[in-house]
Amino acid sequence: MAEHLGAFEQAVLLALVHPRTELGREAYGRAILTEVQHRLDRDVAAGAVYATLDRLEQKGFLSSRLESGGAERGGRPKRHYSIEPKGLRALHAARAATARLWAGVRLPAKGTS
Amino acid sequence: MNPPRWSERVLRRLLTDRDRDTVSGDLLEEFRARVASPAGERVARSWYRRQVASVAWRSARLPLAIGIALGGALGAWILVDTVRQPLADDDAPGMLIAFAAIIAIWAAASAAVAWPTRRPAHAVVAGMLLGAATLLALHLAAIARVVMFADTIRARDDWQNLVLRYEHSGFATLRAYATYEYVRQTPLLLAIGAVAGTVSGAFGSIVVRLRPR
Repeated sequence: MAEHLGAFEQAVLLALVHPRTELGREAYGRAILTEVQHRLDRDVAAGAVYATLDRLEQKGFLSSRLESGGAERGGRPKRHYSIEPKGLRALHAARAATARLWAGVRLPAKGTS
Repeated sequence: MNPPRWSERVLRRLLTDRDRDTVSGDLLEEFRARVASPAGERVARSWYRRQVASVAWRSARLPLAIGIALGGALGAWILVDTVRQPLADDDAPGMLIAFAAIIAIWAAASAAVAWPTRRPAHAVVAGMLLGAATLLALHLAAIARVVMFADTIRARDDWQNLVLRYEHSGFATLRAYATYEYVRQTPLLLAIGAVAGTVSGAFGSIVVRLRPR
């Protein structure tokens, strides 16, 4: 059985699988932070994103590699992330669980009781 | 343009060896992008400080949670003991053993918290937070004991000085005066907890230093 993914973990993994911003396609820390903020439509603390990336990497959902960085970041290296098959399976399971949860549900229109 | 110097120093100290350059590089890059945006430098500096605070909070919350749990457990034990034997004097050897056990728990917990980062300084800071959080929770339990049992425990031998001070205080009730005294002592107790925790964290840092690279 696949491990359960929280909404924030799903947002981080989706940022890698299906980036919606140009920067997001680069898949390093800052790019993922921007992508997650765009996807969730709110400001997100960098600490939360890095802690989630660490946790997902420890679980084997992600892998990372280092690349050199440019002058815009003081020459400091970038850590690029990519999703692993285990992470993709967890995302599929999360989507299926959400679909099951909502199956057959018809909510009243907004603003009505 | 560089981010606030102190914030960047704190950030680099908080990060593990693995993340120090990559994460600080990401935040530097985003900071510079924000400075260049219409929002400007002031907003970018404020954003940078918030990000450092978020990283600091994530480092601090585990030792704080352990400290509050430990202090809460000790506080609960004190309240139960007061119900069982409200007038019993504190047992000196028992207190000494409890104090030694707390120091050992602080040292072990601070080593465990700093173990993944391999940084002895993290163990010292974790010990400081553990100590302060433990004494805060314990002190809150002591204040609760005053509020709940003041009328009973006023006859205890170790309360007689407090009762004398109350009689000259002008407070309407002993409960109000004792609560006032206990609350006033809070900053001092937090400082004592932080210092004792720092010493325990220093013991814990020895264990972290021994971790093979």
